Amino acid sequence: MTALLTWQGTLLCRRRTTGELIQRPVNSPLDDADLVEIGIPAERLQVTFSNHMRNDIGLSLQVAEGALAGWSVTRAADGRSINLERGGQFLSALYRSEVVRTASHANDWEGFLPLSPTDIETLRAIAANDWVVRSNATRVVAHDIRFTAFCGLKLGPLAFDLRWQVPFDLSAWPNRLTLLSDGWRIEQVCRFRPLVYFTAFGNEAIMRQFALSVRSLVTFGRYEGDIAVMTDRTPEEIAAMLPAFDRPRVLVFPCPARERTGFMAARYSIPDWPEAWQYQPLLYADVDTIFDADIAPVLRAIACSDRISAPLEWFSPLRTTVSVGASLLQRDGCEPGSEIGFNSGTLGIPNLFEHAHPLRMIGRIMTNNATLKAPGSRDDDDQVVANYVSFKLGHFDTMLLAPYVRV
Amino acid sequence: MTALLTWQGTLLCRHRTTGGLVQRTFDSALDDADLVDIGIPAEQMQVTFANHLRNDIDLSLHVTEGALAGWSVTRAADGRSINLQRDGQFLSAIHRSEAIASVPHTRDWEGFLPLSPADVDALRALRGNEWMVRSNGARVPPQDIRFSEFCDLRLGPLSFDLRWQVPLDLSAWPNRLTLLRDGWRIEQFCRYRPLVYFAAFGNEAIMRQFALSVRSLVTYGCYDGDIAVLTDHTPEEIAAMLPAFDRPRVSVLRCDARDRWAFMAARYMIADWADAWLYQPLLYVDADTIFDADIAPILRAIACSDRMSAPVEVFSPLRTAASVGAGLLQLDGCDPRSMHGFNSGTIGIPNLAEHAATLKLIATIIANNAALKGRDSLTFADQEVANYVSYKIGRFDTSLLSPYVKVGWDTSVPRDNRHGILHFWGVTGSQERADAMAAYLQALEAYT
Repeated sequence: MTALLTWQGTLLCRRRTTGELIQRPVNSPLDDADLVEIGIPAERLQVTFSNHMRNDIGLSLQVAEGALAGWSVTRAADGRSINLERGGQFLSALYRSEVVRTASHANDWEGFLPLSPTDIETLRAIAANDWVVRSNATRVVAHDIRFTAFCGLKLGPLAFDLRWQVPFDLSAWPNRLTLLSDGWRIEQVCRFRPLVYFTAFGNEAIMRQFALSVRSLVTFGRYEGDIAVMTDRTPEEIAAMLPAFDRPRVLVFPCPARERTGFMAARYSIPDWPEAWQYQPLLYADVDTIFDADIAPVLRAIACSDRISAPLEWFSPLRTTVSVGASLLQRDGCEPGSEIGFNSGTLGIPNLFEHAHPLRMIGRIMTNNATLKAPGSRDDDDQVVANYVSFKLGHFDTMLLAPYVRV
Repeated sequence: MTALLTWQGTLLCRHRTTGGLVQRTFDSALDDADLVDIGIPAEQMQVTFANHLRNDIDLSLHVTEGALAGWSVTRAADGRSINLQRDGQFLSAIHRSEAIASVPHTRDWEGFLPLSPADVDALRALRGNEWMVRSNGARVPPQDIRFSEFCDLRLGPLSFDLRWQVPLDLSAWPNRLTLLRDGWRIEQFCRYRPLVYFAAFGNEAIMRQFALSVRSLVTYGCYDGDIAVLTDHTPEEIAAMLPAFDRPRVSVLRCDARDRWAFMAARYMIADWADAWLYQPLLYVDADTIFDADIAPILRAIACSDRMSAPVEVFSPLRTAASVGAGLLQLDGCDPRSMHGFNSGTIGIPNLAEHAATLKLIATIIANNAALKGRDSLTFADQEVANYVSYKIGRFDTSLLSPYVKVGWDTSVPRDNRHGILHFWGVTGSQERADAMAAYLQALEAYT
């Protein structure tokens, strides 16, 4: 399936009732028309690095079947689009119109950009999500994303010519996307679909802390995204603790933690919850946390980061403080020098695709140490193990969250 | 399919002719026996983080089909293995034997560790490769990898109890593997299967440089791994340039590069060769490179790195030197301050699973730029774009390779200061460069 993007950022379609060729917006539900399939694989029509190695972007193909059967395909003057020609007439997408007709010349309107099914899905998903521009942490909301003339993709103030993007670099999709303005300037955009999650187990005081924390999050924290809680309580019990307007936003993740060790460890089991993989960023906060200012800057910074973050505990040197893993580090022969540990009560996780591994490693070592440790040892405390894993694998950023978190 | 590892590091199998239970080693061809499948998913029997949260590792299951039908499964005393019991008898893997018996008690020999197919495959593949210990750069050849008593996996001098590893962390497999000594001490292993590759196109002088470079690589570079060349020459033409003993190790990757622009850009196409994804590390070198010392330390450092690497050019500030992308950086409003650029004639790539996207991004920008501004618009071709991409997304390490790479200006052999890689870009003219390389190699031969 290879679809065609018109020069004005619409998709070439065929009206279901009349069979005529028309244009439809990329994010149209297509309830009266079908995408036109050119019947030639996109990779044969798109220009790749191999074309450049050969210094040859020429095309001369014939469409054999479908709505465009009989049309000839040649490379357009822009070096990326194609022209469709039959009997000396070129297919043409009329400007500010949904009409497709023929013209006797090939200028801008006669260029069509071949898109693979993956390209189309990507374009639709771009337009359906909020994004953060990595270079300046600006948020671009979904309704500020538009497809415009000259194969333009506008993300807020940023404009990209799709002719220089396809096939897309999907190596970090759906969380990150690299786009090239002017064909070469690198811009990275990070999907913004935040989740703030808690773990709340056990007695009433803990559950009261949770309710107060959620209240502060949505009021002073001005947070409008999803919230999750891993808990041993039922959804009904959790709902009863929250104001009615918060309830629909709070997802309850049943977790069978049994005792204090399990309660503390539960935060690292977030990768086991499949829905959590859809979010970027994820912010874990202990229930004894009050949000007293807009948390959007914190979330944007986490979304754009390449590392998990946790706030520095300046009074806890890794070399000597047991609560941040000094004992494990000493026994493993590590020399942390003057490095300082972090508090694991606040964790910023950019996304789980990239960062589930260290979380699972922390979980694995806690599980092993719980069985193997000497009586009275803290070798299976979550913060001890998290600091050890961070030191060994170099994954945690202790500066990003530190300005925002206070005791 | 869930297999069972015996306490002495063998796999529980069923003899094909007698039907009896036997033990077979991990690297056994299994030509007379089949792995026993207990018929219960491994994740039901392995201890995971969820067990820890529940503080519950107990098991009480019943095998309903297969070679172990009728046996009951309970958790062994070590908290990780299982015991198999029927009529008061426990399945037992006899020490230093291939026999399986049943006994009325449960101790070490009666413990079996459930392994998923992914675990079994990974453990077998582990023995099929050479590995590097990331913490100290030590090499562990396949013959130093053994499975032994108490579910022990030995990688050279390091020992890991598999009961604290399964399910294995395969997030970076097959290139990296994290194992836990004593159940918690993190050790990372990096697979060592190196590839050195070149891009050599066009005239005779370039091809002569390539042949000299390969000769130095396998002699003074002491390199015994695979070599590849992206080229417009046929395999027969390439073979004719190399000594007979080098030929089987050199893969010829035909590449339709048309002009100087394409010759320079070809190095970024390595990810298009499917076999290249099997290597770790990959080292790209320009054809005008002589290896004058063992390159194993370089390759080991690249294999253990998280980033691509290229040698710093101390005389090329990113802010002002066009050769390292200053033009692009200025146009994009970047401020690299006192940072220096790198020379893209030597590129260390840990593996393609992690780094192909960066190479592809460089290639895309090179191609877009050529289409928009002309193939001659970037005087220093790929190097400008590679430096720009590295600056923008922070991917290249310029300190790792720098101690090993020097610019070749003349042909005198340093008495005791050979670095490993001598890049003769300082000599002007292809023919002159080939002559300088030949003279250096000759001097090297005379010296040693």
